[in-house]
Amino acid sequence: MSPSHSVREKKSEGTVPALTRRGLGLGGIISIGMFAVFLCFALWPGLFATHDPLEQNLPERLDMPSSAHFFGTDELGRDIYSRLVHGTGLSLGTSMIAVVVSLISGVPLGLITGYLGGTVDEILSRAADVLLSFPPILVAMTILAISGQNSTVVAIAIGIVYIPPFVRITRAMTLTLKVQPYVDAVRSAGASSTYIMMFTILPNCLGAILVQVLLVASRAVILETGLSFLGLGTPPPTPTWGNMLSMSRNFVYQLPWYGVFPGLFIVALVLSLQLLSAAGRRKWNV
Amino acid sequence: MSPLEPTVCTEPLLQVQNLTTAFATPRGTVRAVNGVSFVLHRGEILGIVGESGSGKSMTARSILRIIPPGGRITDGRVLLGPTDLVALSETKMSMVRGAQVAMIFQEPTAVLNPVLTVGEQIIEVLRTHQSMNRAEARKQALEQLREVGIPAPRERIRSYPHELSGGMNQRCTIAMAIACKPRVLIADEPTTALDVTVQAQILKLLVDITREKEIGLIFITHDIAAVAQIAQRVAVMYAGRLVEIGPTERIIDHPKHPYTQALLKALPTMTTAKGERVPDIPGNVPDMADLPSGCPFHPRCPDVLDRCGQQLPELDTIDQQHNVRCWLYE
Repeated sequence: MSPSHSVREKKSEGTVPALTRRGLGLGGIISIGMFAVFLCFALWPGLFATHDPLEQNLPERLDMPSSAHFFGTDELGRDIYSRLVHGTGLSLGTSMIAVVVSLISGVPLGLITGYLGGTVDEILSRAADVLLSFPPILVAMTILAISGQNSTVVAIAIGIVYIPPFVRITRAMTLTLKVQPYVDAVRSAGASSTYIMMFTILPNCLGAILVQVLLVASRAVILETGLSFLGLGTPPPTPTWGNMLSMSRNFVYQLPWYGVFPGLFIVALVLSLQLLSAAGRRKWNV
Repeated sequence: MSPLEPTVCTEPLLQVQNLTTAFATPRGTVRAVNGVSFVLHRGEILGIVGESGSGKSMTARSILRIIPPGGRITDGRVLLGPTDLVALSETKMSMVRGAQVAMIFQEPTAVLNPVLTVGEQIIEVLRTHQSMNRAEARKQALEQLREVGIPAPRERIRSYPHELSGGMNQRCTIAMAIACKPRVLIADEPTTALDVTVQAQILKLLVDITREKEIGLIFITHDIAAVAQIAQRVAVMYAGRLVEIGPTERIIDHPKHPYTQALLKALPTMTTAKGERVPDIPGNVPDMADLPSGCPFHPRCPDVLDRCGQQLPELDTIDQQHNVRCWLYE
């Protein structure tokens, strides 16, 4: 499709069939594997956890990693591994709700601003720019401060923060697509503007939007853990990665692994989403 | 493919009256279509010829009101029966597009949406204008594909545009255009992007459709040879204006306007010797933002008179519906 694509195919002419579908690559496969593990944790935490995440066991508090407690125990004797597994659902779920929120508001706004142009475009694009100019965490904190604190509100707040990237990418795609001859053609066949936006332009943007979904999902995970770290996420005792990371700071000299494991979980999930998005970008040439 | 015997009814199907489309540019107002008037009858093929930038495509787009941003119709009427298309609301106009007046474009492969199968695209047109469920629309789409001569329509209906050749894609866009049985079909250089053998097939298809369905076809091209083959009447455009319009044989055999004469002389003929230069038209297409005074062709005209640079001639009838905009015939 793109020039680079065809050039690369020409180089490998002879050995590789010219029209082989491009795979996801090693990074893509590894990231799918990692993401699948997290998905299983999120869907069936009870299956993978070894302990009740809320069960306190004071005599065994702040234990080293062992066969009984894979990642050790925290200051209340709770199993860190089990708490991390149970926290997956919250991080992943929050980021998914956030992505859905930003997707269903950002994509239509992008289509409308890109397609209609003019004053509508000016107003909505500048509004998106304003939102984009604030640090994400600040916007999320403000929304949380106004509307109180529970996991749904956190997810929606994160979703609102990431509307602008969707507006921008959809708008940019729409600008290039709306001058394509096939848009003129369907209009000459009697298609309405709504029809053109939804069924002619949108299907051509899906690759780019999907890549953006994965990218925003990874950023939403970071933002969610960041908010929990600051004590603004889902309140305790529900186990959250950010909360655990935050608590571990008190024991960083005695028990360094306490903080390492939540950190590793966060990095692994974010990395898997980012690699997946990079693989998608290569595959769909966006 | 001789010019078919006119099945022309006298009843006018489409009347374009004094149509003017202007674009606001940094260098002033450009009238891409400037006071164009013509009549199209049922079962008739009207050819519109002219150089690039003469306003022939913009005339077509103005009829359908799909003008690029910056341009608008400033004057004139487009009467389809009793309805003035220029005055219709956008919603009503979108019900006319495709159902009453449909268009075929130049680049068939670019005109089809790359992410949808050709079948889906035809089905969507049908369902936009007619209350059909998917199964009925699919059946109708198959029928359309068969009608435009696509072999194995059951397989082709599932093909994406990139899987088909340019000629096949153009047949699909024709199938889309005639799916809702429009009364007027506008073909904007439908054969330009195709190779010669396919061109002939597409021209034949357009003639057959016009004859069978008794629609009016406006055939826009810069290829006078193609027009001579299929059109009953020809209109010649220069710098946004009609300069000559009349029956094909009159225009081809006895062109009156010096521009039409020059265009026809520029065609190689059977008697043109190898290596011989065909005469060209001196000068360039005028700058639309800064047109010459009087007749816009006068700086290039071999038969220029004194008054040509001062006053624009009217499009006058000389004989049998043959009209010319030139001072030579006053």
